[in-house]
Amino acid sequence: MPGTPTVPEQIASDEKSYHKALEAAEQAWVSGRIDVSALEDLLREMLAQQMISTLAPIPDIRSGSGDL
Amino acid sequence: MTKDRQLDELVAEVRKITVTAEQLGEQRRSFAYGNARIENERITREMIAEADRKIMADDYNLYRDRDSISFAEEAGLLNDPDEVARREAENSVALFNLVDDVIRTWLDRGGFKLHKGVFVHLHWVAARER
Repeated sequence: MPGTPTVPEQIASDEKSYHKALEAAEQAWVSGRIDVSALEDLLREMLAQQMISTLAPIPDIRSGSGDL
Repeated sequence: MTKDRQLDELVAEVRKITVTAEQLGEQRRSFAYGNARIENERITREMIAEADRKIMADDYNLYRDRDSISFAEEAGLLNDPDEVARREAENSVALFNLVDDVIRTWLDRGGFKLHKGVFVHLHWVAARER
C-alpha cells in the first residue's frame, strides 16, 4: 500500500497506543477470550492514515480561495 | 458503512495510484525507521537515510538473486551500541527491499505460497552481516 507515514513509523511514534492494544488482547486471553479488536481498530486507523496521505487534498471551500 | 468497507474502498482507490521511485524511497525509509526504532531508540532518521543510500547502491534483487549473494553464516557480534544501531538501520532497509522483491517476483510469476522459506529468508536478511 502506498503512502507515508507507514504503519511501522506510526507505531514507533505512538507506542503507548500500540502497547495498550496489545495489553487489551492479552487481558482478553487471560480471561479466556480471544479479542484482538483494539489492535484491529488501531491498525485499520493507521493503514487508512497511510493511504489517505496519497490522495489529493480536498479544496477547502471555507477559505474562499477555491474556484467554485 | 462499516469500517472494513470504508478501508476496502480506500484500498481500491489507492490501487489506482502509480507510485514513483521517489515516493517508494520515502515509504522505504519510513518503514525502515519505524520498524527499527520500535526495537532500538538509538535509531535516527539520519541513520536510516545513510543506510538507505548504502543499501540502494547495491544493484541486486535480494529475493530473486538470493542464491548468488554471499552472506556470512552467522551475524557478527557487535558491542558498540551505535554500531549495532547502524547495522539494524541497514538491515531494516534491506528487509523492506526483500519484501518488495518477494511481492514483485511473485506478481510476475504468479502462484505465490507463503512457505517457511520466505520466513527463513526474512530472518536471514534481518540478522545478516554485511
